[in-house]
Amino acid sequence: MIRTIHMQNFKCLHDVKVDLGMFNVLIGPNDSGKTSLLDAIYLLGETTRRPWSEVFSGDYQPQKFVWEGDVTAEIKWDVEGPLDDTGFSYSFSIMPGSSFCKERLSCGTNRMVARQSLPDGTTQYDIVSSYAGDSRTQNTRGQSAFFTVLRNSPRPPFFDAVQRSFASSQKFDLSPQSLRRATKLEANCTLSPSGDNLVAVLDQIFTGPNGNIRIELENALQEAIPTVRGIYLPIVDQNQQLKKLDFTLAMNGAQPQTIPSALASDGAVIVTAFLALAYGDTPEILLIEEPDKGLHPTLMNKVVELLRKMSTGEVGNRARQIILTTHSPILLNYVEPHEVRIFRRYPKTGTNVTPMDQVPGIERLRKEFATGALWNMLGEEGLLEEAPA
Amino acid sequence: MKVLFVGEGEHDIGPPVQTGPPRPSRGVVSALCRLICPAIHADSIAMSWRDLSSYDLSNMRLRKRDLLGAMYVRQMKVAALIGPRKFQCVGAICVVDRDGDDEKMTTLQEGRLAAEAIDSTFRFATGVAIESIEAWSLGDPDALAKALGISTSDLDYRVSDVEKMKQSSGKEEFRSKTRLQKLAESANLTDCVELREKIAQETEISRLAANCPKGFAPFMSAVQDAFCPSRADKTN
Repeated sequence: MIRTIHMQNFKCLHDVKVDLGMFNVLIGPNDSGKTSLLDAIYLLGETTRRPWSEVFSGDYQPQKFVWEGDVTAEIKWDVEGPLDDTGFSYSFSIMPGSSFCKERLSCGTNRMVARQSLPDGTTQYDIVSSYAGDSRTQNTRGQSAFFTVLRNSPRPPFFDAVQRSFASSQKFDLSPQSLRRATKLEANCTLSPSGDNLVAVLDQIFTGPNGNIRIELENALQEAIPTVRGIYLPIVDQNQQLKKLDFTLAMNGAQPQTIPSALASDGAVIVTAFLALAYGDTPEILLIEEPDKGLHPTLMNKVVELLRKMSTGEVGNRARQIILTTHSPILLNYVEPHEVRIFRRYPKTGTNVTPMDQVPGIERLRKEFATGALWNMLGEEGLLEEAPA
Repeated sequence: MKVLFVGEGEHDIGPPVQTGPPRPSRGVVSALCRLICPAIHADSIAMSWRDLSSYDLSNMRLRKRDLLGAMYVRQMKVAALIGPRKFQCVGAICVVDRDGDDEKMTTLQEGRLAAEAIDSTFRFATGVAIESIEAWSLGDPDALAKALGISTSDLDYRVSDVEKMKQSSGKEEFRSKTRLQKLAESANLTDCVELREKIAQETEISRLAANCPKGFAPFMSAVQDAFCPSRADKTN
């Protein structure tokens, strides 16, 4: 879990600190920095898994996303998370105008500082801990010194916890069309950002060692969409191992009927995707763009409830931190102010983020109006501005 | 001072605009209120009661079965929320037609008290036009005659009847809107927002208060109490 992220000079996030809970809803106008925050969290996770030269290439070359194109500015991520009594902090920075990246980890008395030169991948790092106390230089092949060096023996006990906290994240902008696509079955398949591979992911879950998971997943689906009784994954092409997604529907006491996902509602398909994320081998942090797309207003409550339960572990195989964006006041009606972060962007200072529970008089207003109604009536400006004297 | 006017239709508060709500404040109520209290800005804004409901997504399922009275109370709470925070207004002036419903004044008072829970600094003045807003255009015959460009002696109604007139009356001469339309036609004019505003601008408000003692007089007093500094000081 990321408890706090402080971003500097990343896109419109000039200097922003955001406190996060397990379930977070980001609201704000278009281009206010919501997606930038999701990108920042996702990219940070990527730097722990892949060579930095790969991560920061193509659309993600630092000079393309540094604040106001200033290549002398340091782009910096600082994250803090819970770990035993003390917590941990990790920072990563990159200078667009030079070839250096830096990372710094602090877990109680354990501290590690690394400075890496790109593109040759040579890393100088200092580890101050009970595990290693010397300065070293090593070629980490352009990957995170922390996650490359400490992953190997002797792996300290805090390593896994820290890695789980922020290194594993995935960003989703699910498209019902992608979710419905027939999928070739492959080992270790994961849901793509737009929702491809849903069928393969469901197949992995259903054929896994725990037979009860399918029942749990289908029960959760039925709770959200009462007409759906179950999921069926028929083979479309035996040779290519291609399967598709069908739903079994309740028929008012008559024999249940199976329909292809093409004939099912977008809501049924999207809820199924969330459940696949909950029960599959998916990241600890789920970054979800506008989960309300294609949903009928009456389904919003159930989707919010499902995602919140995923964040507590009540639904799914473990608790996951969920950070989502929305433009839907109806969805927001089912969210508590302490779960909402309000984004605003200013020309000179970039994005500013305010937790909704810090809006003046919010407790009093919430006695009369739902969260989304307040947002719809006042907008971000009206929420955050004091009334005239 | 910038004020949020709340009323029922374009004759009361001005026509809706493509960019709205809110709409610029126009119509009879806005014009009369600026005579009562010149400190009210011409760039004040207006919303219909329905506009206020459309902002509030809190109780979508409840709205249909809400009683009319509860609706007004709810809408006044919305006004107290968005008036200051979204539109930087210091208060709201809310007007309804009585239309034979004796409960409306009580309902608006309830709404005013309920809205204090939302923002106790937001000022309210409420009024009930008896039986409809047309009474406030018929209540000063001199102003009406001047706006129409005719003589007061050409007006064919008794001013003491204006608070008895309503559009649903069985007697045509008591249908206030029809009466105004016919008078306008007789002067080769159309009964429109501009004409209603012109009548209001010509109005002697003390005469109107005397001729509309049940509707306009208490409304004028409420506007003065809420928005005229000298009057407010005396009250305090």
